[in-house]
Amino acid sequence: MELLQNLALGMSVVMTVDNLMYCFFGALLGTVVGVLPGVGPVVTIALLLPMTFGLPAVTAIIMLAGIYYGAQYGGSTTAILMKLPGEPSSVVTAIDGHAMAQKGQAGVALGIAAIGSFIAGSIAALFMALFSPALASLALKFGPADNFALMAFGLIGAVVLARGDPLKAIAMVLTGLAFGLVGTDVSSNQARLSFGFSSLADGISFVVISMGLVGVSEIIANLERPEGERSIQHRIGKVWPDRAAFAASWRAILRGTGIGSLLGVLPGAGAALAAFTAYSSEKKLAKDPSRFGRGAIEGVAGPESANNAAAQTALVPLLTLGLPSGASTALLLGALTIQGIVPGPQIMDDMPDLFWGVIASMWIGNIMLVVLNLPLIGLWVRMMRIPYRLLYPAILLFCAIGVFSLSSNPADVFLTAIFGLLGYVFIKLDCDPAPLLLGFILGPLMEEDFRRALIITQGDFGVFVTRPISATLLAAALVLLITLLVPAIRRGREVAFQE
Amino acid sequence: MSSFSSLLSGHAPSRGLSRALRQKDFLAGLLFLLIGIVVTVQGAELAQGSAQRMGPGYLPLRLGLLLGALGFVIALRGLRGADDPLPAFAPLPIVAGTAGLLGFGFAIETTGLVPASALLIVAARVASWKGARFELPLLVLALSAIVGVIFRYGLGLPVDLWPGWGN
Repeated sequence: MELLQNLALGMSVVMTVDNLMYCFFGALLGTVVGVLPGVGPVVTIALLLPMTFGLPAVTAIIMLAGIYYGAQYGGSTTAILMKLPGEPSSVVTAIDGHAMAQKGQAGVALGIAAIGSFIAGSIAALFMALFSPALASLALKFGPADNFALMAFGLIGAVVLARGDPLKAIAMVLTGLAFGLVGTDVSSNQARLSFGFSSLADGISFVVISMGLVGVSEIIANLERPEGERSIQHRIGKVWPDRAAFAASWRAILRGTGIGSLLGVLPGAGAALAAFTAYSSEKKLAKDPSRFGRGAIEGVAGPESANNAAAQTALVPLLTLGLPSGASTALLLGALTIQGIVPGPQIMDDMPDLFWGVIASMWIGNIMLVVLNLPLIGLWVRMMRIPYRLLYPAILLFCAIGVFSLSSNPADVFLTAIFGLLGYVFIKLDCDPAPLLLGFILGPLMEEDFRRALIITQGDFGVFVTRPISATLLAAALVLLITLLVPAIRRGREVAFQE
Repeated sequence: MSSFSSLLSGHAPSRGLSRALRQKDFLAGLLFLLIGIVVTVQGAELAQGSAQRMGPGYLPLRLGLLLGALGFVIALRGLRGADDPLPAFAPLPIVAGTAGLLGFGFAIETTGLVPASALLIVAARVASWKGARFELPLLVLALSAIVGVIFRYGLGLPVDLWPGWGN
């Protein structure tokens, strides 16, 4: 019954006028920015982060959670209507979702995506409430060596999921770790890698890195592509799915929820893997698999439920272990740090109102998403027709002003320009920025745990293999690494990605 | 290994070299190698300490070496691999985007939010001049109004809207 008490506490936190309002604004802004063409969920979250910095911690994280799932949903909308998946997790939605849209069933596809996401989100929130305390009490036994091993495992997980070549993804992780070292060393108070610039003495802000590497670089890359004819479906049709559509998709929704809830918890796995797995399992279970790719409603319902469930359960390792599973959750971790919150197993005891408030806000946020999206789909379609030449100056301006608002320092804007150029070079070199972001955010935490572990053992590196938790995690990371680098298995992974 | 050894032994070095300089993986490896070297050199200048009491340079040095080594491997592999040339860069969007941000950064403290925003938008639009005649002024007007309301009044960002006005 502790669970009910906790949920009641969470509800009482969310049910204030302020928190409900910011939850609503977060979901609305996340969706609005997320549906804009060329603006994926990671960019959406990065752009909207500065709006939450002035809020009290609990309100800020509730609004961030709203932005986070609003952005995910907005991404699915562009995937269905324009076949433009903003991130890997909605790639499979684009296949059958857009096929449905071309048959004049865009409304039903969006409707089932919203309803599936809502069901998945509600069940995933319950899943979080049930399993987070267990995971947190396990994590309380973690020493510094175990924490280090856990983060190393998480980083390797991010490499598995990164697009393209694993060696380059590992190099990106290391580059991110190196960027994370910039600034004053906490124990010696000496400036590191700051090249004498005073504005680098406090380190690089993660907002600068993410806006530059993801936001600015994508604008430049988008601009060089010719803005050809976009195929936006104008006819939406009815939105509320009829009985036959429900009958065809409720099993897919529940299966997707299960797959997503489980895979979301794995470090590095997250929403994209969940969506892929749900899609291929629906295709395997279908009586007539040939319908897939031509507008099968299960091909929308399954992956959409799975990526939403995974997006939510990904918050379990984030909040209880301090371990982000992808670029979006890494940004949330950065935002929490700015709020002075260090996620970890103690967060449930120290800040129960925050933890349970976030869980409760997921239910509320998911309800808001359905309420927002079903009537507003027509508006989203109109927003998608905004030409990019009007959009990109706005995005660039929000990047500039958002970065400037961090500490009213123009140097941050210049630094963003530099990271924008670097990010553009990375795009040209086929280097996915997500592992870099993750390495950057986890770097300082890993260094601290690494140092502490070795202070305790007086410099004995054996601690990483003699402690059972650390040894298990490092062994798991090693196995992952080997499977990545052995060519035969790698080919299998490429096939899986193409499916 | 063929192109790399031909590069070393001098067989058709110019063709091998110019091909190499276009390979994505070779260039990516070089970039990581370069970052690794910078981190290593910077880390080596700082106190190292011991594993028990790490100095500020302990991890940067080791991380830099690891990154540099990995960059070297990636570059080497890029020479051996199938032809995968770097796509062309588009100069106009690069210049427009960068100039917009730099202009904003230089203007924001002296001229205030609205002129800095206008500067950014106009500079950015260099990359895409299409559209009706009144589009650009309207865009400038609308966007600076929006950011003014959100950031100056909504979020209380301490910045002038115009030179010397708004605080």
